[in-house]
Amino acid sequence: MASLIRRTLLLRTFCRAKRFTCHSQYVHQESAGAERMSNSSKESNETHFGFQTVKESEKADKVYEVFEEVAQSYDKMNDAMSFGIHRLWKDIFVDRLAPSKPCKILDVAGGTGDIAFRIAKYLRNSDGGGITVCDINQAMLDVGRKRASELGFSGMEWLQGNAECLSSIADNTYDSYTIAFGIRNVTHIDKALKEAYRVLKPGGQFMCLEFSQVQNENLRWLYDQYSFQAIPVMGQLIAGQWKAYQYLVESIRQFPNQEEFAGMIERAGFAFVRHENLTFGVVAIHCGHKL
Amino acid sequence: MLARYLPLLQCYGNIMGRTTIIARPLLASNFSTNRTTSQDANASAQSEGRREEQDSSSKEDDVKFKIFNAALPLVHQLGWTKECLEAGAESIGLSKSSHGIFEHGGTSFVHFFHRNCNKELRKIAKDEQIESAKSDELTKVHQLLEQRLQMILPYLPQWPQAMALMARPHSSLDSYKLLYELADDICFFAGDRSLNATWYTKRAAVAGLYITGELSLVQDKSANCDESWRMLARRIDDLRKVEEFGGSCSRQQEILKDIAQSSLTLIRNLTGMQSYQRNSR
Repeated sequence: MASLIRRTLLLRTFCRAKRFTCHSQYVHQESAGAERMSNSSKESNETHFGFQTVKESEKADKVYEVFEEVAQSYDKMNDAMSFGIHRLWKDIFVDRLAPSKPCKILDVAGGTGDIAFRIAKYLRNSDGGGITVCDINQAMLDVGRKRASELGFSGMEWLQGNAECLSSIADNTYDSYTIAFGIRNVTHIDKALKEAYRVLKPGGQFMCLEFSQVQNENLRWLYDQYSFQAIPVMGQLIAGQWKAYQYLVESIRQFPNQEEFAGMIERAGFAFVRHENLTFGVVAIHCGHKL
Repeated sequence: MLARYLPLLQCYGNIMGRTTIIARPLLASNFSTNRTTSQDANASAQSEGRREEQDSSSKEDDVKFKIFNAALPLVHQLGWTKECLEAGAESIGLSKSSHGIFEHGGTSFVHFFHRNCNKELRKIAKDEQIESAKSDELTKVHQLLEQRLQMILPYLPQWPQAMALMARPHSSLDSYKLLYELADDICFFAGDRSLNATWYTKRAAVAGLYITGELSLVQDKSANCDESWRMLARRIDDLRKVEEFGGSCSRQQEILKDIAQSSLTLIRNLTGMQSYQRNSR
């Protein structure tokens, strides 16, 4: 009996997944970018939330809800969805950052502390001092704080704040600003970039790790199939959250590609902007300096 | 790179009235990033300006140059490393994270140093008008090589580290590119305008000389590195002898060819084979 129910549930979820595959092909034909979407609906102050259109004022709350729901199983799902490769991405990211003591680093949208812990390990014999983790979501910060105490990083700061408006942080404070898999959830990316510029010291480094566009067309098709067919299903089975992971894969498609995002970073005032693809363009590391 | 010599090429073709087999500098087409295989006059102007474009600066380059200059004096204590770049950046008031401007840390530092030295060499060659000087090509090559090698003298104790960084597989492509640019510049400013295989041999010889000079300097214990300069002078003399020998060889070759042709005619006369031609006329 139980197996029959499970089978029906799975069948239902696969049917749902099929609908979204067609939608994704439509999105790629349109080559949607975040800016274009918001430009077209500027008059009504709307923006995208995955493939839905929502009011700008609502998006932040909706994103907040998504992450509150997934906070507990966030790390487990990351491992499952990327087959553990996200750990390598984050290791490479911190390697590119190459921090050294003493320095002040701000990790934005770094809720559960993945990047912050890696930075602390890179700086040997560090108790996490000089590293501030900022996130809009208190639930994610709580998970991160718990993990930090288990790992012994007592010197880390945990700050709740919105990447678009870091009002509690003064100008020219930080040596490095990192944001990993967070900037696509921000309603106004340009505001977040301007804030990043503001809080960095002259010479400071902005580093962003984010999902981006797969360059090769055949691989892109494979990646789409996996994203829309498998990930929401895994989200439902492992974390019990279908919609949250559907939002995840849709928001990846709405985010600008490597060159567009590099252009946005330059417009925010950064110099020496460059990007590096990882895993054929599934993720990209963007880097810039404030001069 | 070929397009630098294109006007000469066209002149030669017109004067001689026949096509000449021109050895295209294949290495050049591999290394030049801006050019395609087209050989327009436009392209020639572009490639001539390629090296000179690198010499002009922008605001970003200025900052990079400032950090580099601030970090150079600290190489003696900190080596060619990311830490040295951080200390340099801090000394001019920028954040430590500015080391990221040099993407691969110590390797990018050394790479920038080499590019800077090559730029300075070009400037010296232009200012002192070496190209139009009266001395022969090899003397000019010697002069330019010595000046370039002298640029690494202040950092000689840490130079083995720099050489090791540039020899890694990751940076070996960049190293070859830099060495090619250096050899090409030296040959060009020494007055080399060859259009055949000697284009390759000359640049290979200059590149080899530079590397020999570098290796010799690194382990030289004499005063003012005199042994290395003497070694360099000896190598230049060797090259001069090879050139003379090669020249005399080609003269010998023509004589030998004449002798062979006339003996063949003699043999044909003697054996009566020549008579066939005579009767057919």
